[in-house]
Amino acid sequence: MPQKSIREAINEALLLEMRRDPSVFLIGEDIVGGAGGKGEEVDPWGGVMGVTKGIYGEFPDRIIDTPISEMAYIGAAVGAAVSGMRPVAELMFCDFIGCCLDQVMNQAAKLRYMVGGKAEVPLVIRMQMGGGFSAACQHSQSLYPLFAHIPGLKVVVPSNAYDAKGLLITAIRDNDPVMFFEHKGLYDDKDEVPDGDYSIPFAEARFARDGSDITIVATGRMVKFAIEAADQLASEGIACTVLDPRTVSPFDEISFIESLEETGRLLVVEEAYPFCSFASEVAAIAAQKAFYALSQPVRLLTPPHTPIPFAPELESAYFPDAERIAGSVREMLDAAAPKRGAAA
Amino acid sequence: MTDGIIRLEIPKFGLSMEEGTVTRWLLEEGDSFAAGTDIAEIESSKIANVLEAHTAGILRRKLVAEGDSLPVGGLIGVAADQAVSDEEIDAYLAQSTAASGSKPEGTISNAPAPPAEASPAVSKDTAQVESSRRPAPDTTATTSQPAPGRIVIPESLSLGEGEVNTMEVPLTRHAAQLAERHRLDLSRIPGSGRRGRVSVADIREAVVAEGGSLPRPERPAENVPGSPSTADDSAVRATPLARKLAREAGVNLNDVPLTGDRGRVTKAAVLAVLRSREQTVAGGMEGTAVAPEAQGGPAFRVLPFSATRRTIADRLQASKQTSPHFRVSSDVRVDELLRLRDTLNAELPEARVSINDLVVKACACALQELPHCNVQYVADELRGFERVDIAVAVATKSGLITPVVRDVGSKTLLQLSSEVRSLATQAKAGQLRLEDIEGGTFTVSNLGMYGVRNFDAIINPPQSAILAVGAIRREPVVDGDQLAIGSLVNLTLSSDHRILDGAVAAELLGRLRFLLSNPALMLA
Repeated sequence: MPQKSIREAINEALLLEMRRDPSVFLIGEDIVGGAGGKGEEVDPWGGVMGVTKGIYGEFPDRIIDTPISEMAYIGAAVGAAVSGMRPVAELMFCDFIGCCLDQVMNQAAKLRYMVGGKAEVPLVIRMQMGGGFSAACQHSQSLYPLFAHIPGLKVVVPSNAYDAKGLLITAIRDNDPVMFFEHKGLYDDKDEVPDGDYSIPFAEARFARDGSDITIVATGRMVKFAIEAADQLASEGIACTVLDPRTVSPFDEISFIESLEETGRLLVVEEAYPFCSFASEVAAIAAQKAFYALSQPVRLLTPPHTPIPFAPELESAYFPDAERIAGSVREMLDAAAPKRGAAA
Repeated sequence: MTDGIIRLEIPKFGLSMEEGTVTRWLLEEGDSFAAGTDIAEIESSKIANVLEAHTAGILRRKLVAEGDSLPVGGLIGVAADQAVSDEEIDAYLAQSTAASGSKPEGTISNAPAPPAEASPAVSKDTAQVESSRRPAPDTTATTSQPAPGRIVIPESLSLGEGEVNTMEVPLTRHAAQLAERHRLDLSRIPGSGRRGRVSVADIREAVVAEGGSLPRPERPAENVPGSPSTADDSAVRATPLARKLAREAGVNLNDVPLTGDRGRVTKAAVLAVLRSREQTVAGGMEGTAVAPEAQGGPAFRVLPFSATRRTIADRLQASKQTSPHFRVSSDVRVDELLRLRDTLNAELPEARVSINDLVVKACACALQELPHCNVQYVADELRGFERVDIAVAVATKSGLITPVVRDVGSKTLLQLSSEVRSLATQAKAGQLRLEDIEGGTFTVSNLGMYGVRNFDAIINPPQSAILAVGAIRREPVVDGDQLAIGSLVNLTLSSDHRILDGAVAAELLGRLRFLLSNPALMLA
């Protein structure tokens, strides 16, 4: 099977869906890569991350470059969606959502409910999230918990290329607004991705690793780190389940609880801010619905509740990484069984 | 139905079970059995199981032969105790058969009708009701009854030889693993999730509904901090020597830290665990503070709190909380008093006067002389009394009790002495009436017989004071300009400062000391 990066996988999903369904169109800042030209030579970037590169060549009329005007083009996308189109808008950095939050939170998310189901909003908003590039606190946030908080929005946070393609196809075909978060630090990560179209249902978690000692729940870039940690711990005899929910909302509660019943321990790793976060929600679900299964307190590994620092040294201290995940797991297992390591 | 007759029927092992076959009788006619005894082996189209006795009895009649099939609820035999005669059983059977009318042989009208084949989406409630009607789980290995903790997949949910699941059924990860492990026929298991996704709970529900058993997985005891693991440790990475050593010493490798080369358990680590266990055991045997909880028993028992105890607790707590106590204390020379007591007891045959009697007498005299001390404080009212009623503290098995001697001033010493003795006897026998313990302005409490030198007492509300009397001590005393041996008693008077000031209490105590050291004055 061909190896593709997340960037390529998303590009492929967009193209496949545009070919399949003429109502799919793209809109966003610089997603063509330059205005006024014709053909390949005026398609130098394909958006700030090059995700939409090459699409203009095939669908010049269905990929719309906009100025810096989030309120306008996200609003336009919501309107187009209500009118029967399937827009895929690119917000660039999710940090910019503040400029158009009303269009998303009060219009897209609420319309279907307010008109008693007579309208649907088949809108996808793609955006980049995550830190690790010294991009400072206004360009490094992972704001998906903000949207998971709002009923009416579906929130997708893929961690690898295969999932990114399958989930984006599902998102485009979904009749509700979907917030699609792409981690800046994962765009070049490659994975086996089939050429054809396939979809991954929402609310079905992926078990990136299976193990009976502990369940590590992680999303986005944290999945990558959790897998690294799990592989490292496996060589120490600690078997970790790495559960990637893939969609934060709706959340695959059933698989999550089944995993807790198997392992009895939970570590939630999150790149987003800790307070009122997805991690805290996962912990709350464990406490409410699977307390009987827990053999020790749930643990959250998150950044501190502060803006994301710019200085590279501070930023690397800020985010959880594989080493810290492994350390947390060891601490939990040591706390559970004082004998483990006590005689070392 | 005739009393004492036990019907033995084809049980319902699963929701869809309609008939059962008696494959083997495990008892003969005339055999007696206890509750829980296996009576017969019964097979449905899906599982074999055992009919178990719910109560004790004697198997009186077998109504079917081995190999016979009957619908669920069909009567296969009758049991009863010895008191039931054969005639009664015959009559019962005749009546049952008559009532069954045209129904198939062996069934009777009041047997529960077999329900229609359950739909796959059977509700949990139904499943529970049905399962409660099955015989209690049998844990013996000779039957196929699902034992608690054992997984029993009914045939109806299993894939046949060579069969595979052809339908694309969405499954959770754990459900998929379970389905593969037990070769479950997924077309028979309805999913409750999004898109009809099948979860472990869905599988469990289907299995239970079909009469099988799929308990929640029990995690190894390794999860309990501090207790030795019982989980399979064959997958734990260990050196061959360490594994051998651990097996011989009964150490579970899950309990041994992975510290060796390449994260393996080593011999040294196993030995370290063994050493630490030995230390724990030795520590326990030396009797180092092991909490009772650690030995499995509770740390304390809850003892009955008697009504007397409750009264003492409430009254004395109220006293300490509401009346500001202060004490004045003094030693009293009692040589004269002792001589008086000895004379009285020697000369009067009926006399058994105690020092305490004399102290009570002295208190009565002093309170008569100082009527402003003979008071009670009740409901913001200061009550003065002419008559002197003095309570005497008596220790009983059920607690402290203070019977009151009335009008002490008007009584002779012998009357007083005999009355105190009588009240004390009644108190110890629990025969005091309420009026025997109410009222009074003053209490005398004496712990001298225990060798107590001095102590503080708590005022018995609504009284104004209490006198605490210590033991008689023989001590050097200064007598004029001479050193002599004297007999001394400590008196400590606790007073309620709301109604008795310090000077007043000192005056009262001074008067008491004077009377007790010059007992002749009490005659006045």
